[in-house]
Amino acid sequence: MLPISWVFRTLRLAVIKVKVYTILGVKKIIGQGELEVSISQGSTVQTVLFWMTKTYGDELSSHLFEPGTVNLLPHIRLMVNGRSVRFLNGMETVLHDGDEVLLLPPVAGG
Amino acid sequence: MYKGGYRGKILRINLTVKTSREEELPLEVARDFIGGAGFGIKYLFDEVKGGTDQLGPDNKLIYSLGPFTGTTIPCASRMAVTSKSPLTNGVGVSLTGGYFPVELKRSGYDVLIVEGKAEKPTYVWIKDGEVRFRDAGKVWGTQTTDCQQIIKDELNDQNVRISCIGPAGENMIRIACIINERRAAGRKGLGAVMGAKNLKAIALRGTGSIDVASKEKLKAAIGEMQKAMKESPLLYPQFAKIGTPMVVDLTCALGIFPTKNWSATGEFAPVDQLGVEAQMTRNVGSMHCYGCPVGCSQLKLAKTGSYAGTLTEGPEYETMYSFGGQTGVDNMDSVIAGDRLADELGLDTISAGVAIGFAMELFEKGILTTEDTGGLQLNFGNHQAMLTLIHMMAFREGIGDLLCDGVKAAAEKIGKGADKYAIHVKGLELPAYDVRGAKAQGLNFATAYTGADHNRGYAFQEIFDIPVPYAADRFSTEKKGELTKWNQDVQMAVCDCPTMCAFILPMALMPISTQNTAALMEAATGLTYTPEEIEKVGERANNLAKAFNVREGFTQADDTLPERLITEPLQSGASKGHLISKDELKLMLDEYYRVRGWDPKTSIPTREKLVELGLGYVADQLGV
Ligand code: SF4
Repeated sequence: MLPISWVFRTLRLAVIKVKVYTILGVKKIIGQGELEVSISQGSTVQTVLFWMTKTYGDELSSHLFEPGTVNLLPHIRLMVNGRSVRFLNGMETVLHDGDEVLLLPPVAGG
Repeated sequence: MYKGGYRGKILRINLTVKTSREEELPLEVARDFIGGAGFGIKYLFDEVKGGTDQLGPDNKLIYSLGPFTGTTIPCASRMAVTSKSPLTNGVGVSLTGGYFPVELKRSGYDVLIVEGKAEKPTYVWIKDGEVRFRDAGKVWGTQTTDCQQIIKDELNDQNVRISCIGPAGENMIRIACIINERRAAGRKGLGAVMGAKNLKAIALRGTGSIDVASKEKLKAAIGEMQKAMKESPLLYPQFAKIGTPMVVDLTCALGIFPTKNWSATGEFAPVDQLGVEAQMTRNVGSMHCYGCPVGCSQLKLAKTGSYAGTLTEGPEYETMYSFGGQTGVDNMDSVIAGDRLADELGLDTISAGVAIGFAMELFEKGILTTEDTGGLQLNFGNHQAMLTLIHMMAFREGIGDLLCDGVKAAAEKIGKGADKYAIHVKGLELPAYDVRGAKAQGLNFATAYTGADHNRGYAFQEIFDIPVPYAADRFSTEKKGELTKWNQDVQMAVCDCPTMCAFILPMALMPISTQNTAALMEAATGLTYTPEEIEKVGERANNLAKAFNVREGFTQADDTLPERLITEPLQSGASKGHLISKDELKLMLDEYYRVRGWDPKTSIPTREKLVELGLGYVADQLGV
């Protein structure tokens, strides 16, 4: 049987760090292009988004979600380690320590 | 009988004998190819024989308009310029906007074909169909802005519209472009064709009107298009204010903004120096093409050092890459100055920047030394050296003479394994997408009929995440052959033929692309198409362009990518670890040839496919 202190220590350590990168309008709102977020193990992309909207308020929410809902605007792009979450598990994509999340407003041209 | 949109006429000019004649534009050519690049490819294939010297009198320079140009359809003042490319030896198509295209339509023509070679420097002056050959001695050697102004003054008409070359075109450098106003038919070295013909400029003044088949239908169709444009979260709120360079921020974030001759993508990502925040400190206004409510083109003023006071229209995204990331330069003002200098001297900014970055890598690797460079320290990031090289290339001076015909030719001359660092496909330098992190974009670079060309089959699905016709995982090879065919055919049919600004498609028109074109075609010209038939026009033009290249000796082996992209995975950034391996490329190519109906071994279109597209005579010529 495992000593109880070990279990606690393990639970306390079950926090992961992910990096969020963003650009343009979203970067302006949060005041930086890159931030580190500590979340509990097993958290998803959705957890990070909720944490961000809680931290950065209505201005960010109105940039990301359809008015009065938690539905992401169709042109907001989310990626984990460079791959669109469309090809992972969408908003339910589980994050791991060291993952990099890209949160991108629409861009075109070129 | 034409009901509208078209003028129904071709103007053919022969510089050798100084003659001009008007010809009818056959209705079936209009129906099958719509216009613009479609007409350019059709007349190039039919009139320029296999093996023609690109810089000889038998090559032709074809200016062609679409039926939308000059009507009230927004964003349609576009024109294709087509010739056999001195850079790639294949089809050279480049599109430009501004005001010259509408002036050509008002002059009474859909197509202008320039043949032969003038005995001495000449410019052609066309006033409502009256053609004059004028001595260009006075403007030979001038930069493009001065050239246009001097000709306007000489003709005593400030409303004349002019398409011209700078010293780069006169010196027949194979990366020279053609400039009208401050817009460029930039790529594939078409300026050299003009220079080889001793043709400094074409000046136009036209006062004719352009009819449409049904004003009511056109109003309704434009209403639908404008609705989509207004609903775009991007077009007016962002793109109109920032323009194409906003893509710097995106591709840096995706880890695909190519830097230091594609050796440091992801690692050197100068978004703070060249991205939107930095750009906005230099913006002083914007410019619109004729009839465009968007006006994406930004005027930028350099503010520091010896560059202070230089104004340019641009730099566009591609130039932020070519004179910025690609050369390791992160000094915004030098990129502004480089953009203006290249426009004035008449060089394609993409090919010029790629050539400079190529030389810088060779210098850093010791393959080129100060002995070769005439003492220039060609290290990455040396912005003064970059500006010097632009000048030296335009005038074929010193090492500029080695680089000015593109990286493929330069690598062959240099030897010593330099070809490993030459970033081109079919001789055309790569644009600003490190396709190791965008595989359909890579397949398009490998297969586009013009070489590595972002405008001939842009993978919006990967770069901008637009899920039409379906979403695409940028790291996967799955269904990329089918996607690339769709992108190439639809962009040809919706943008390059009618002609419509290519920026409007991803920002507003993707879901209604071919329906929108069909509705506008019926309203403007009276010609009716189903959306599928519109797409077929694109397929027909792409097959004919491919056939031209086959006739010139291109083989399946030319559908490839630079070695670096196949063998060296990206080292940093959001695309870290990715590349397009040889096997992946083969997999995508096999699928692409299959969906195209081309022989998978040779890549040549099958007779069956050509006949299906009404190109049986092409099958006969190719012997398939
Ligand atoms: S969007 Fe820009 S490039 Fe396109 S037509 Fe308008 S001004 Fe010209």
